[in-house]
Amino acid sequence: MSRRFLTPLTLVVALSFALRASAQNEITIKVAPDTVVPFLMPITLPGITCMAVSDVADALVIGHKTDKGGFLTVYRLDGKGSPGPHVTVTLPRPPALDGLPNYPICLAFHPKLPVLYVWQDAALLKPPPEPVKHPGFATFDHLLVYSVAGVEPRLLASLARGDEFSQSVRAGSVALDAAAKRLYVPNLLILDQPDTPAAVGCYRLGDDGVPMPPDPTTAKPGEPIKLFKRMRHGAYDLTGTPVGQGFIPVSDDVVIVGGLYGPTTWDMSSSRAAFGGVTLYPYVGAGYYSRIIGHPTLPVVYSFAIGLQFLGCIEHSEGFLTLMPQWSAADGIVCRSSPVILARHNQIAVGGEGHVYLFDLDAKGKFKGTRVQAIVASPNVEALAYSEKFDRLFVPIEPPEKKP
Amino acid sequence: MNRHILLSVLVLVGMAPVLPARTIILTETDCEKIAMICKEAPRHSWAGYEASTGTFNAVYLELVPNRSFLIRYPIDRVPKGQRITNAELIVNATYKGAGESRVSIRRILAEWGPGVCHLYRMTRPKKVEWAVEGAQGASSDRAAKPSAVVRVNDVGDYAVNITEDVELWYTGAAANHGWIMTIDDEGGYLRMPSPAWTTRGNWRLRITYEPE
Repeated sequence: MSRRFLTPLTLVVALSFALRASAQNEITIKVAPDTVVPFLMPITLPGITCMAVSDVADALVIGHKTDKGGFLTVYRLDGKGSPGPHVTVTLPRPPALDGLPNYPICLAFHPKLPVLYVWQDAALLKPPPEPVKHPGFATFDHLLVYSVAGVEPRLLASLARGDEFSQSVRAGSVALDAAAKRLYVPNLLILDQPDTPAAVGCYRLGDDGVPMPPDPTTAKPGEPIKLFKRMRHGAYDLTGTPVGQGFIPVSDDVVIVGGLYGPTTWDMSSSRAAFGGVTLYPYVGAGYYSRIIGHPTLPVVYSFAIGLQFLGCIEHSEGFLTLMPQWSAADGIVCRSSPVILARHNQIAVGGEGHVYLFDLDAKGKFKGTRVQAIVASPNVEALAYSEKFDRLFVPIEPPEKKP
Repeated sequence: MNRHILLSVLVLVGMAPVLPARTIILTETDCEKIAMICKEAPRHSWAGYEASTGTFNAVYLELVPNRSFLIRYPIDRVPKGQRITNAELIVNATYKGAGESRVSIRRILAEWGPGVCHLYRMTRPKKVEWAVEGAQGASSDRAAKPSAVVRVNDVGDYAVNITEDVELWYTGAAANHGWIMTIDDEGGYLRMPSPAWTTRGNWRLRITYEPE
């Protein structure tokens, strides 16, 4: 065909694509050139599974897993947000679990106090972890609460043990509500139902940030601290562990939970319609892979999937998911970490394979369709933490293996 | 200007008068406002179906009595100075109950938005209730008379003529707040693909227009 006719044809085709591309709910985020992100701060340590930073305590905490057990590295941040001296803390594991290494799954800081929450589990690391019924779990505490006020972290409380907690799970999250009166926890079981479906719940927190009995007036001395609220029956959208792959507490009654099928509203005030979920195509049933996070100032929930390139978001109103979701496919990426929001930059960051990706958001919190990406010297970036105070995005770097 | 580009522009401009009509297809990816509201889940916007007792999900849309589907297509892609010659809403039935299900499609008359549910037509910037819960208010929440009634006897696509509604919206004679779809007959049941999940393009509004 003559070039003379090809050019008009090209324009017609381009016009038709331009019309199709006007769809706002489905966008492709194109590859961006690798660049230098000035606020990115690499942390070179082995076996990092999770990270959290406290702008109250000026502390960065990193969770590690090894084939001998889990531990934390606790850094003090200097006046510029750079890691200074650090200490390590071995996560407690009962002798009865000998041979079954424990590992931290997630970390969270109290928003007003120098208090750290750690959720841990235990499983065989090699070959790949399989669920095990080990009698040692009867004395294994999943939740550890530390004070990080001093140089050495101090264990304030250790709880969440027994049959109502799933065992050998490798994912989950903990989160506090805005008033820091509740701590939401993952990976519960409902034992009195035939198929023991999964559930989530929360502990009541005292003014010191430590879990307290649901009703202190009736609590007996020495009695294990019970959950304040928990799901009493299974919910389709939260079936199976891990469950609680992100919590967005919106009010005393409503929390958005990351579950098997994506974000799910749990309305504790409703006896008839306690749960409502929106599965963000295409990662239905991606229990181990789904992660959610809420925007700190806008009513928007983001859903990512580990191992995939798809990002989604949806608005909520008082915790109820509403209007059309937005789907994004980010060319050439594989998500490897839970996302973090950088409110100061109006971006959402996620770790990938040898990269960190920062996706631009618009004024409503939706994906703009553009991104920034930086190379990091690690095959998989599995954790991120962001300090709003210091404007630092901490990125784990796996040190090169030592040659024998 | 490059000779080829100039030629291209001339070809495109020249084609316009000889094209008698043009058809565009809007899909769910063009829509911001879509919801499934339900009496049993009065605060949820996506009560597509009850997956397990008390758990509502948007994987399917199951239209039954007391559950309504709301959708608003923005029609601003139709250029100014046109006449709407035909508009069809494609309703896709993926599963149906026994017998015939009659689906009523009515224009929504009131503004709705974030937080839309059985109780409220929006909750932001402030909570506004429907005149009658579930957008059931005739001539207040929704048109009293259906724009169309689809008789669903089998699975598949049903092309519903809603030209008059789109004309009303396009000319500005009425505000475009979209449609509400309901099944009013006891025992009626229809499963439709969810715009929030599954492949795209199941929800289509086909508009044909020509220069006035």
